[in-house]
Amino acid sequence: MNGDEHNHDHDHDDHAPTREDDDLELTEGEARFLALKSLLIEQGVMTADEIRARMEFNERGSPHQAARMIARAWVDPAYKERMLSDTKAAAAELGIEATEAALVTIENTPKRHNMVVCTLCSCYPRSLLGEPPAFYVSKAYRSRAVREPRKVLREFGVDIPDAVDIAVHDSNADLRYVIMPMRPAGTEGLSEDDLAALITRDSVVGCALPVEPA
Amino acid sequence: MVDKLVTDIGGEPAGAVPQEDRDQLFWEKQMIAAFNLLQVKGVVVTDEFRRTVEEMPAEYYANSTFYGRRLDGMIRLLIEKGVLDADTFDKRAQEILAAGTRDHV
Repeated sequence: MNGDEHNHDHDHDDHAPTREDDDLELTEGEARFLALKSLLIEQGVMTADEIRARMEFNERGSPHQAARMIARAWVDPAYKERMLSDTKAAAAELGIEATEAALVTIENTPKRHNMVVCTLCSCYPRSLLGEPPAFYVSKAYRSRAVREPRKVLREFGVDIPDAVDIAVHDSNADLRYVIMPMRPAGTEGLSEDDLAALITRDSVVGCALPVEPA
Repeated sequence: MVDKLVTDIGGEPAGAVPQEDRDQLFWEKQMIAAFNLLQVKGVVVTDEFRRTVEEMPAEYYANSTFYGRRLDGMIRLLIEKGVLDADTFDKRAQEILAAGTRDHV
């Protein structure tokens, strides 16, 4: 095991909530939020410390969490079964606290590729993937993913052969999805950590395939 | 016939899906954390928050952004519930915008 070392393409430190955006001009949206925040604190609804603590908690949600789970599932069939039958419990096994109401894992197969959208808003498994990417919350993705998924995937550079079905899963606040990509060929000798490094955020949404091993 | 909700855009025609990532701003992270706390503390529940977004006028919704909608929906809901006073909130927001700094909080 590599301990804390991981070779992901997403750098956690870049996203740490450690500073204000002092180089950016204050927008009306930010001013309105700051007004809301100051009143909630003054009125005793919440404290600044509670907000800071919750931001730190939220930072634990990152694609690395889903990658750890899927890599474990790839090497441990019993864990895979548990993840498919109870995703939140499988997360807890790896020390991940999933705050979502319900999580369901869906496995890609040679005959069926799966992708996730939330057509109504932006429901997303934040505990396992962090905040949703810009494409996921865009009106274009929300509109088109259910109508022409193959075409949308091609825009992401993913060409799913016609012989493979595509299933699109529409998330909501009560049920959010995690896609388990297929383990790439040629990864038989890789460690669990090295496998996790192949699993990208977008591959867990079904908009990418895992990285091919070097 | 029931009108479609403004949020019900699945299947509608639309342009290219944006491929560029955009990092969350600091205040957006603070906002999500504060909204999480409002739920954890039982001040608001998800479904009533969703309702405030669904009630947005179609034109407003069409021109809104992801974080902008969340903020506006939550402000409307907190005013509706009496947690926020509308005039006090507007005055505070104007003061902060006029000052143009983040120092007061």
